Amino acid sequence: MIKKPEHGRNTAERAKFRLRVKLLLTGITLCLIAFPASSAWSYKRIAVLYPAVSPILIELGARDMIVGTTRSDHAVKNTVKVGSHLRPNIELLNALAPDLIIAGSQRAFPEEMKQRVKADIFYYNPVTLDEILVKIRKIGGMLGKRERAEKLILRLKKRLADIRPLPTEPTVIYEVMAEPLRVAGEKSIVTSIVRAAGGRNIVKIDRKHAVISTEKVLQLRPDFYIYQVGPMNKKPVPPGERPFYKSLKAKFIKVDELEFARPGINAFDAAVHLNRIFRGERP
Amino acid sequence: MIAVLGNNGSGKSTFLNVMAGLLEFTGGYSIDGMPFKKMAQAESARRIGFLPQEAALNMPFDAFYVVLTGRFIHSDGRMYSGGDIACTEEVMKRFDVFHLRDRLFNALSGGEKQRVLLARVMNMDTDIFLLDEPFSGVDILHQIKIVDIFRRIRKEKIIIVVIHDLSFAIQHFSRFLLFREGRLLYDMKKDGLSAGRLSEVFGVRVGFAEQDERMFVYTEEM
Amino acid sequence: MRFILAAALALAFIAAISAGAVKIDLLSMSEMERNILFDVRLPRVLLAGLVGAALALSGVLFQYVMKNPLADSFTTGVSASSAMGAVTAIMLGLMPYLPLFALAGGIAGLYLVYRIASYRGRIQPITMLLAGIVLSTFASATISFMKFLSDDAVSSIIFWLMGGFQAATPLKDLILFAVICVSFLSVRGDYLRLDILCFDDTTASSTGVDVNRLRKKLFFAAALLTSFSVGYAGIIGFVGLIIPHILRLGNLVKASYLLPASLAGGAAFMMATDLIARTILQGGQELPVGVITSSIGGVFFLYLLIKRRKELFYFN
Repeated sequence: MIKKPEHGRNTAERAKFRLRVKLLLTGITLCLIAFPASSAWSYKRIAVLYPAVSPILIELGARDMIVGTTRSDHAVKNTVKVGSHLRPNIELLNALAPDLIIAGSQRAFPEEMKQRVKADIFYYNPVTLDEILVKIRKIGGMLGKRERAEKLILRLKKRLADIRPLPTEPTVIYEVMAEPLRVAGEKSIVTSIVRAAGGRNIVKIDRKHAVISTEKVLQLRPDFYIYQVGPMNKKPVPPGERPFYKSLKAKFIKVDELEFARPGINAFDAAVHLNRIFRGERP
Repeated sequence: MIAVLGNNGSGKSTFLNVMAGLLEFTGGYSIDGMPFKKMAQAESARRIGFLPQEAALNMPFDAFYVVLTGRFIHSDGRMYSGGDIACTEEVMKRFDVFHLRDRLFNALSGGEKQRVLLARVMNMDTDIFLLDEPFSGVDILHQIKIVDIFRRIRKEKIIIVVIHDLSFAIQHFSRFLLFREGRLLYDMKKDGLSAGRLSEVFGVRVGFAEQDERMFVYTEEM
Repeated sequence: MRFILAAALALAFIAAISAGAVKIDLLSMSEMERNILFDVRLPRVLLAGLVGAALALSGVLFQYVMKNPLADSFTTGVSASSAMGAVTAIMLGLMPYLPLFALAGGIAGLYLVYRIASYRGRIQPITMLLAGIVLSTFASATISFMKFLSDDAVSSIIFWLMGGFQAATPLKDLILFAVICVSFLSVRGDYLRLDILCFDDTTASSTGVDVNRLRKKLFFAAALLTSFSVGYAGIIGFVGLIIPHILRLGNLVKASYLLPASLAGGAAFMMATDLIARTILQGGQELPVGVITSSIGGVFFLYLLIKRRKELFYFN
């Protein structure tokens, strides 16, 4: 996936865009003529602005291609840290001369920033486990690691085979942040993890996160109230000790934010882990 | 009735402020044999009513309530009694400001404000009144009315007034404190006043004229 | 006026109790509905009301101390410095002492503004506002810096900046109620003194009011109210400013009316705004309450400013 420009806002921009497409097409044609075996070409210098991607690259054997990461990326050490995932430092980024930048979302790396770097941008924003696999396949292709990508995909799929069916479908609320109460909505990877594990996220809000009323939690009566602990939820009061949850009959489960809320390889382990919890096993 | 006279910056207001206990001072004085410095603030407020040169109000109170607050020292600190309200009505009528009672204080004219504030101080009903330029901005008619009220109560009260109108002061007051450059230069009765002494105090040549046993003061050209 | 306020308070309370993310039929409640009402909604409505009352009262007291209608916990920078104290407590992991830290921060900030703004015993309004704004900005910057240091998104820190009543518990309600009682009772005997404090200091002290002592007392009471509000509900602006103003425009200018009315008005206003914050979105979603207070309060205040400029003009 190369630059996928949005439709221009005005005709001038559109004209410019057309010109660019033409140039690009000419360039590609020229490239194809010049290097008939162009499929052998792949990205070599990668800046990873979304920490969940790094473990994937490592699995693909592309550890050495990573030239820069964000400062909260703990999977890769000894690379240049280029700031946070929402505010990367463009100067540092350009100085690394990457040919590919992997960013979390359009919002984290907007058009305006794209124009200030020479590299191509790849958006890694899967919302389901399947989409993670699709993205892995794409990254594999871009890095010339197709075979390893397929192997990884197979392994992750096999991992899910550990999940055993449940007699009933437990309902879940996933707390992202305690104060104010922020829970995972339908666009969160958590929803997919819960579904894979045999449960159901009962928060039906078409967003990644939603700030909801504690009243609503009592009304929804989840079987499991999962609360994450991590950077987003540093030291939450355990839900069982919160007076307004006194009448809540749910099982309170504490999970690690880095394992559950990030859409990466970890998500598959998280699903298996959650399935065990649903079955009442101590993980 | 005592008039405090002197040029700007000669220490008249400072003297009044010290008397009222609003400024730190060395030395001491007594009221009825009681050292002033030993008095609590409430006690001194019960003895001395003070009208500062410039007063400001920060809240849209009506004129009646402004005058009523003068009764604070006589109240229990929590509520004004019916007696306080009666006193306020009485004093407002006396000072000819009763018709302004429902108007917002800050919406009054300068002279009206001054009269309301004067009524407020008189409402404190203290033995001593320290009034810093009470006549500024007040029309002649009301100046005369006010002095008339002062004259009626002068037997029971000590009234100390900072004043700039020499003729007016000489006509109505009996004792004079003359200040110059931060010092009390003279403290004298009416008969002690002379053109020479007044010239010394004010730094201009002052002349006296007498007509029908009334004294007029005029200044000669420099 | 007294009747209107009492009615507004009662109405706000009933409305806040009967509406919410979950529909509850107050007349025939199920087990779950009863739990929602008593465990979640009631403590929250009470907290909103108490915080509103505390902020409005503290606003009035600040206005007496500073002799300035623009003073409140927000403009004097006390809210922000309280929040700074609270965030420091979070950073140091001293959560149980959080209200104490908020109080220390609040008093330190207030003292600073007071010292900067007072010259020869008089508070200079413009200096006060400037100092308050600088302090607010500085405290917010410090909070942002601490946020940055600790991690990109620390929920509890963000909470201080946004404000809200979600974390309401009966215990917090009780403590805040006690704080309000203590502060209110400590100034209740001073109504007449407060009115006299509206004069210049010379007039006030010669009338028999110990201006300095009274001011210190008001100072502390206001800081106490603000700190606990901030400690329990984060920074919520505007309430301390607009509620007393609206009441004064409604001709409640004497302290004996203004103070109790502020408590009732602040409580009613806050319960109503919180009600909007938690019901305006679908599916149980919520808005930060500060968004509502600032928008509704701001618009209403603007209306009053335009409509009744004359009265405001005579304030000073």
